[in-house]
Amino acid sequence: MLPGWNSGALVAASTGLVLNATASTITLSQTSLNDITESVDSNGHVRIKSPFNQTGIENRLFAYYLKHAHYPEVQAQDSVMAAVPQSPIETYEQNGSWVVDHFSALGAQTLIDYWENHLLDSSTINLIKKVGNYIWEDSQEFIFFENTFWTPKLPDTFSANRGYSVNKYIPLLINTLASSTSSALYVTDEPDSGSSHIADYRQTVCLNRFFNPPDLDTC
Amino acid sequence: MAGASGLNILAQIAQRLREIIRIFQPNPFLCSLKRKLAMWLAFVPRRFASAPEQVDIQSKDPLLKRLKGPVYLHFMVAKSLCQITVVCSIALSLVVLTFQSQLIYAVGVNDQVNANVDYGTFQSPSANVRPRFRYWLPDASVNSSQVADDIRDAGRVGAGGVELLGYYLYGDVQIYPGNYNLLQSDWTFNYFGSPAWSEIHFSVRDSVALLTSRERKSTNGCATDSPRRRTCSGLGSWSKSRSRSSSSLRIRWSTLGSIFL
Repeated sequence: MLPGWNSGALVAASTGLVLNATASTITLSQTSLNDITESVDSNGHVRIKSPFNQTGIENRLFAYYLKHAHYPEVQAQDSVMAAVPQSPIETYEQNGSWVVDHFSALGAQTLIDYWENHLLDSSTINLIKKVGNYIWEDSQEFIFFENTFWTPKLPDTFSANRGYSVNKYIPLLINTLASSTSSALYVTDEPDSGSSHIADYRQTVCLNRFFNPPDLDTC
Repeated sequence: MAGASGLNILAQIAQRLREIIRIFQPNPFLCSLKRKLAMWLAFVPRRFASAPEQVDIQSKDPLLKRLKGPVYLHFMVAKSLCQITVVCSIALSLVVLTFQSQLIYAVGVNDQVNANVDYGTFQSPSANVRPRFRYWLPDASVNSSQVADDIRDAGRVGAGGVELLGYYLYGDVQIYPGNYNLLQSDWTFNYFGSPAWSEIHFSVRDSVALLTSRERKSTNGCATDSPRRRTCSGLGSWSKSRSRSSSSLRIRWSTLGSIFL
């Protein structure tokens, strides 16, 4: 049974052999990394093959699930302390503002729709056409509680762009954002400590086609 | 002198093109083409640079000397027109390219420092480059006429613009230790993008626009505070500035709100 099963949609499961561990880094054997996502059955059970034929400290099982961060840019009135009575929340607009998925076309479209339906009228649009030079999004402050950027289409886009599956390298990507957690980083025993996989991940997240994917469905 | 330097430029262009032509492999067709091209290219600057009675042009001209066999340079109207057209088209395309790069530069990414916008003068800078205020409204419960007044005041003291944003407890201000700001209005009605928010947004926008157009009409954008000195500031100055924009209302946008003046 996979740890954390039922806490969200399974993104990937993998195993790996720990060769060395310090307070700051845990070194995995790159050749031992094994993507077992496909072997997980619908009940979250998985049969792990005999341990990799290499000596190390221990074998580890990794399981990653997709959960909504629910990070609010504006909090809902019922989650802040109020000095005046609040009316009941009836629509999603009254429920604060979540940060949209900045790595998907759907996230961008959500923002566009909100502006078109709630903020812009024809007069404002005409004025913007006259004097607006650019749009500027200020200060994306969603780094405090998150330690890894992710978006649902990332594994598909990663495979398409980088030519291999990201699944067994996800442990390396954890804590690649500035994070308040002080847990150790996973690295591999490759000459570059596996940083090429992190670079591939970052390149995928930054790729323009991620926002306008020609060969993928809307993110 | 101007004509001579023009011809020098043409000669330089011809020289460049000859260098390009040299890369052609020697085959009969290309050789004859090269020969014709070289004649043509040499003809334009040389012919017009030399006196009409200068007949032995080939032996004296290092460019033409290199061509084997006799070269007949007869002045033919059609031919020379054709040559002039070719050279002029090249020059024209260079001009167009330069102009286009100017246009691209003019778009810029930051209208305050690197775009080709009106900067005004040091004594009277345009609204593009004046300091702007960031005006953070607590939420949509604020009095819209008060907001409009504040923005007009910003204009009166010379601001180039105002950024109008919803603060909304800065999203998460209460999670920081020591922040005990309590919510002061009913957010079920005053949320970001609510009808109440739009009302403030539109009323501020329209009153500022009205003000700027009225000031432009009545005072030509400048307030007169003494017989001798006319001061131009804020909204008035914006109207007066030689901005290419036909509108006197300036708006910028960001995540939470809009920026005015």
